[in-house]
Amino acid sequence: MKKILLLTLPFATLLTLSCGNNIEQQQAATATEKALAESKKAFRAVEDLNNDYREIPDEKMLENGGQNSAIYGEMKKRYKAQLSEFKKEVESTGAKFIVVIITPEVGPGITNRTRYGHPFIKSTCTELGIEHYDLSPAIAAQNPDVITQAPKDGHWSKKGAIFLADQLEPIITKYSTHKTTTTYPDAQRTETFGDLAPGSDEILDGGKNLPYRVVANAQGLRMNEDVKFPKTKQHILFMGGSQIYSPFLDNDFIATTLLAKRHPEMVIMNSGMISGCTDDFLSLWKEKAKYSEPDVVIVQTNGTDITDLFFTNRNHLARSKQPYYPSAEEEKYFRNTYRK
Amino acid sequence: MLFNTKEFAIFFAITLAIYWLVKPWRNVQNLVLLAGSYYFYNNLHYTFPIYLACMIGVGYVSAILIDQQTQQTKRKAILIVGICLLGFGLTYLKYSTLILGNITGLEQWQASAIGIIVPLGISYYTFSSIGYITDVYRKRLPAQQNAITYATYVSFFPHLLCGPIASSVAVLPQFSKTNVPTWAQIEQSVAEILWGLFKKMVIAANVEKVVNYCYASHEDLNGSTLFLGVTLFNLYLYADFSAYSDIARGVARLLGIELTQNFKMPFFSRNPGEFWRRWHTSLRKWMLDYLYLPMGGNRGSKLQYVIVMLFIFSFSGLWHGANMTFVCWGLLNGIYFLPYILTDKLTRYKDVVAKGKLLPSGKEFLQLLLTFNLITLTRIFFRAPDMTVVKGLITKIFSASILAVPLKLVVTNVAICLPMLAVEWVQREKEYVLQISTKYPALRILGYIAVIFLIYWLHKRQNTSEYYYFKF
Repeated sequence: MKKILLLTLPFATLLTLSCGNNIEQQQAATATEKALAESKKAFRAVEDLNNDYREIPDEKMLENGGQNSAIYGEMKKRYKAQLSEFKKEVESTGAKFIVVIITPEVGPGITNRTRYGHPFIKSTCTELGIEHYDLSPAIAAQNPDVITQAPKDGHWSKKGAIFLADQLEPIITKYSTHKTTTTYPDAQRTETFGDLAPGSDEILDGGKNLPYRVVANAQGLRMNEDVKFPKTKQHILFMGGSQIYSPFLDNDFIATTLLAKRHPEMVIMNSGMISGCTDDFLSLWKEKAKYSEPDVVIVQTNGTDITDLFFTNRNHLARSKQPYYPSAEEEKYFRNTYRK
Repeated sequence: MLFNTKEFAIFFAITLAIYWLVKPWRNVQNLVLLAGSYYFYNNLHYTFPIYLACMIGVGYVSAILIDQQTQQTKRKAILIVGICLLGFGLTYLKYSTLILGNITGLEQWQASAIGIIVPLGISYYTFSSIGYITDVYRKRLPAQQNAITYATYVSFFPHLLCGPIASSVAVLPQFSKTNVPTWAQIEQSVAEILWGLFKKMVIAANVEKVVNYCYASHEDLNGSTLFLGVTLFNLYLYADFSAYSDIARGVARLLGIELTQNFKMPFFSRNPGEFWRRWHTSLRKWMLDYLYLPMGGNRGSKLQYVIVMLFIFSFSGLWHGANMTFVCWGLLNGIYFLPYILTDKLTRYKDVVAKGKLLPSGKEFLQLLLTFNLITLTRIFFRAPDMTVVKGLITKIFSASILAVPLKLVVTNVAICLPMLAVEWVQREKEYVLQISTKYPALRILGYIAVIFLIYWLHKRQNTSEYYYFKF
């Protein structure tokens, strides 16, 4: 009897383990199915909203005295709340939070979004105690034919990226000894910190016949090297839109790579996205960027980030793919502007 | 409206259905094709059909006048006037920037300064029209009396934008009778369309951006990457241009019209002469019939022969564009011919390479490789926007950096093209690439389904780029 029991024991153990595994697998499968169902539901909601509300106002919001309108006031309030949350989120990890205002607009033809947006961003940063730098006057003093891809496009040229790196370098060196207080165990860390396809190497041209090579590291960031853990160097994380992502330039020529070459003692991470606003940067931070354990976080913003918070812009362009329902003010503005 | 779009598929399905519904009435069939062609052309720009109508008018009237005239001198005079009128539009629209742009006081008369858009396909239907009135003059065919028939021939949408340049003797009479395609012809059409779609949507569309990148970033890339980039352009150009011709032939045959086979697997050529007998054959034939032979061809001394050949290639270069790069491209191709002309070996190799064998001999392989690389070198000139870029590319390619490690991305993209070459090599003795020799129709259908599946699976998403040869 004892022998029988002894012989049965390994089989019983295996059976129990396999049952356990099955239960775990079933639980995991149920969770995945649930998540999938939720994401499908959100996708359908976004689709429905986009069908009902197609137009995105952008610059139109600020036409004819729109800078004093209730809708712009609401967007500013929303922007301020997000910036405040962003600061708290970043600083809770012990990282330094810095805002840089970067816009490609040069000369007298600046848009209202820049004209009215930049003073607001600066005053908000001061009010919230955020260290900020406005690079737009320095950019405006440059020749657009030299620093941008003009006339084909307004993003940085090779020389423009050097100029941008020169502007950003004093900011990162100022905090070269700053350290975050937070580290994450490997099991908790997300596989990616940015939204690019991990390990991708492709040629894009933005439909402007300006081909460029985009290399993403294994963590979905626009950089050639993978970020290693545990950290041995200071981590600087750049977040922002296309001015940080830098379309129409190969990785080797973008400002963050140039900074990385100048400062081998730092790991300069670029999580820039081709189109995005503070809402997207904040969601990226919460979801995955914070796991890159940055010591300094530099967020690029400009006036378009305020109007980009309008619900139709979010439903069409937000990275989160979650539905943004209109507030009473947004609904009123939308009806008055597009459904007269 | 590109061949590889849903819009074209719908347009063609409707045209095809109406065309065969009115089968008993050839004139009505032509009217359907004419209306379809104008709709197709108007989709690109509303001014384009106006140019086309003018060209048709000049070609039609010139041919009738030549035909009515019995005196040779008058016939010749009308022919010259006709050619001048037809050629004027093309010359002005394509070359006014080069000619008038360099003459002080006349700059404002350039086509671009006036705001005229060069119509797509103008070179092709101008050449067709010139060929037609010359053929009437030579009494190779009578002038077409029916204006609808003639207009349908010139504006026939499958060949309107990118050829093949239709030979009037071979193609025009087909618009006067109804040829119902047989099942075998329908199958050939479908097979050609499928292979064309594969080349355009899977090969050309996937590698196009990498080619553009190599030329645009030549200053930052090493010699080996650039050499592979130029090689990739050579393969891309073939995939893109021959795809258009294959689809055009397939589409035309479903309408009962047989067009010239424009490409005969040109990369399996053993010398440049053979290559040019297999590449863009309709342009070659046009040059042969209306330039080379009237200029004396190879009937004079070797020197005359060389001069004629260099002229023909320079003309071909200029046909592609008013740019020094194209002239150099043409001249380089002409220069490749010189050793073969001088040793009377230009017209060798009329049969397919390694006939009946799986692989070529060592000598044949070296010949194929040499010819391919010679042609690849000409592509530096063909694709570069100016001579500065040409110089940059040549300097890098012929430097020590040709031995450096190339960009993996470019190597991968060259590898994407290899299956196309492999299939064409295996099928090189066939009439068309997807000609499957089996008595079991189910097997052939399975083969076609496999190609459809591959196109669906591998095609480049959201690619709406035009065919490269549209610009010529």
